[in-house]
Amino acid sequence: MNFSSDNKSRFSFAAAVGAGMTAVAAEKGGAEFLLLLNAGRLRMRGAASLSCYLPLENANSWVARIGKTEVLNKCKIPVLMGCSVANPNSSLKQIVDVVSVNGFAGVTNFPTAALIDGKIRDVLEMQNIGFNRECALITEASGRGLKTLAYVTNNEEAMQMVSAGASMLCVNIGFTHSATSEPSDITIDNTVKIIDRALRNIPEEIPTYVEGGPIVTPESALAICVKSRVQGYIAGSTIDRFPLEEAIVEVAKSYRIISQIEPERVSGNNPETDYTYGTSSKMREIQNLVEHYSTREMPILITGPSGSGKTALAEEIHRKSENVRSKMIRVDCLGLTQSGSAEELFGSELGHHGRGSPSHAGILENADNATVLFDEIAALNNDLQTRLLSFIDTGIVRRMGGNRHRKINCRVIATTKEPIEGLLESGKLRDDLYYRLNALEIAIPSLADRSADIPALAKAMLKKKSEKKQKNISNSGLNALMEYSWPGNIRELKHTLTRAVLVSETSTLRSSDFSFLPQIAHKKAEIIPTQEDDNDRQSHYSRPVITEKEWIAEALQRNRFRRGETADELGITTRTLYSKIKKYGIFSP
Amino acid sequence: MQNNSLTSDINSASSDTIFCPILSGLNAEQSDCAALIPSGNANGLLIENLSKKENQKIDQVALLCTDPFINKEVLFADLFELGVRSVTNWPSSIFLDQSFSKAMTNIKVSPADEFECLSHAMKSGLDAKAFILSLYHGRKALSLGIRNLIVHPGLKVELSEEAKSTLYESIHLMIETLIAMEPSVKIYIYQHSAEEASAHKARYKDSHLKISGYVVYETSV
Repeated sequence: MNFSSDNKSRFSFAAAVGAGMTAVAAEKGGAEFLLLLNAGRLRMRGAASLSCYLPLENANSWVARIGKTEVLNKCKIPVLMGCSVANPNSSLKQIVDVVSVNGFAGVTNFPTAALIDGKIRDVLEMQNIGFNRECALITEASGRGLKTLAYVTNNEEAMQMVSAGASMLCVNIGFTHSATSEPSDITIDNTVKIIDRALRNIPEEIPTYVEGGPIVTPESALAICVKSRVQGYIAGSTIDRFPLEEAIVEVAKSYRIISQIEPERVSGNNPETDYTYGTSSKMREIQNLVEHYSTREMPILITGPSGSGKTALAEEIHRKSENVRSKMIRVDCLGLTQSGSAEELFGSELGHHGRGSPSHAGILENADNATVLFDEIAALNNDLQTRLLSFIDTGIVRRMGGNRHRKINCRVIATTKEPIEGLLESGKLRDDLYYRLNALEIAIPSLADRSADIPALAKAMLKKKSEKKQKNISNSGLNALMEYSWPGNIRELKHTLTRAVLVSETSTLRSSDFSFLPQIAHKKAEIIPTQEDDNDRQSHYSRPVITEKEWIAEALQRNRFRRGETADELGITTRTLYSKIKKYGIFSP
Repeated sequence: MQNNSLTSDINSASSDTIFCPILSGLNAEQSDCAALIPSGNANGLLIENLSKKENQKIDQVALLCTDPFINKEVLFADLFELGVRSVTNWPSSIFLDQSFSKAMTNIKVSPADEFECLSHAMKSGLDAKAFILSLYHGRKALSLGIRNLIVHPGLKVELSEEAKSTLYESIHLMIETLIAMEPSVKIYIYQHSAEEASAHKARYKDSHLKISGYVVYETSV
């Protein structure tokens, strides 16, 4: 067994566990040694670590039994037994005998009285079932050649434990917060101060560790180890309960999602089709409407929020009618110039704009036997809407300034992202035009309202996007997509997948590949898109694949927060790096 | 006036004793700390002992009310079936203070959680006696419908006679306040030993303090 203390630059890591499964997993993950504690077992049973103090089991015989039956026969790394000295009916000799007989490599004083304060701690000490007895345990175990790791909270306790013969020290900053307890209010910097105060004058050759408090991620553990005297971290609930709970929730959700993923259908001629629809009943209904009405002549009005796929659906309708309609003409009503929009649509006769002005055909004149799509129909002014109404009724186009009538046979499809009621009320859309257009009205729901379609849509999009890179998506990845609110709808989903495909280094996209999605939007129901939101969304779409902040933060982590090396790697000066850290508020110890 | 004892000794258990097997081997001072001594499964031991046929005479028991694994309905039904008619909260968290108390409260280990458990027991047809340390505890217990309170004088430490008088004066004042708040409440004073109880009786023999009796710790050490 080799517990090193010589190399501060080497980050040391151990795990405090309570079951064979977590012990074996921690060993596989690289833990250098294990502490087998009743707290770990209680966590596995669903209780908080802190309940380790309660009379729920005989801590020592319980931990010894777990060690014997689940851990010591499976793990090759040293395992130290967490021993309680609070029971006055057990002698220290008996306790250490249990440690030796079962084959543990050493002991640790757990649950420790060091975390108990107030008058009851005084009574524990007076009754010799407190921290002083823990020191005696360490002495007893040390005398028998066992390894000893002592939990301490301050310098006095650390000195006492060193005198008692502790071969390692662990500064406990308090129990790590969980869903049932309050977050630690101790900052990383304060933790560093607590550690350094606790370990003042402790001989350098004694390996030192930290546990608990605000440390909940490998990054925070590393940051504390870099800044303080300790060279290692002992992970408890941060290595078993939190990740296990998270993983189980993810997997459970995956089982829920899997039923919503339809077996892959054979693609049609056009890959767009695969992500126009989905598997939800609403989209199935729309698909049936399209199948039934695509070749008819009646106008169609498609409504739906921005980015929901209105244009794609119109294109799909046209494709379905290609045997009767030779082409599709798209009229961007928002883009028509106010002054010349009538001419653009209907054309103008020679001299209409003054002497010598040429004649030209308008869009509609060229639309014979075509599908004409009016994107954002309500953007047309009242005059144009009247003219368009007449055109839909008669199919006749008359150039501006001209008398000649041309009969045009085409299908009109119009779209709008605005709610119809509002458009009619405000007069932005003429009601007579609306009643012509809504011979067939198709309302596409927002993506948030048809999240069941997301797996099928994402898979279809990925298939198209990653033809060269061969990307798949895991159930956890699909789950992450389904949890998001998608204010930008299908368009945002496309952009998100594009970004994830570009950034991800693995062949399968996982939930972590979508961590750039704004966290605030994860709670679907809380967000109601507004007009203003649309602008924000546009800026969100145009975000770079990786932000400068992320670029710097990742480099800092890779270089263990050493700023000189980070600056070198990034090709910037240290001064620039400092100013960027400050600018973005990046955590850097 | 009724005298009860808190005991872990199955042989001395009677209708006047509150049975609490997890306290076995603990002296009175250690008994106060029993909530922080993981020496066994307090509630498991209780059921195990009660299940032995010869122990059917036990009708008052002490529970670890903050056991995170108990199913209260099932436990109370089992206890009733085993002849238990009254439950109390021991080992108790009433002595925890400062940051440790705060941390334990976050995991539902607190006097208030214990009183909630006792209140639950009452709804299951059991009687409940609540150990309390302060007026705040008493008020909380009363608010939950508990009408039997065991006032604990605090962790056992050496006190001068003068300090002892001050301590008991404050306890008596607290008892009077609780009775004024709820005249139907029955109040018992906890004593770490029979000697302590005798001394208290002698010292306040002329007092008009309305207490229903004592609960005395019976050590098995």
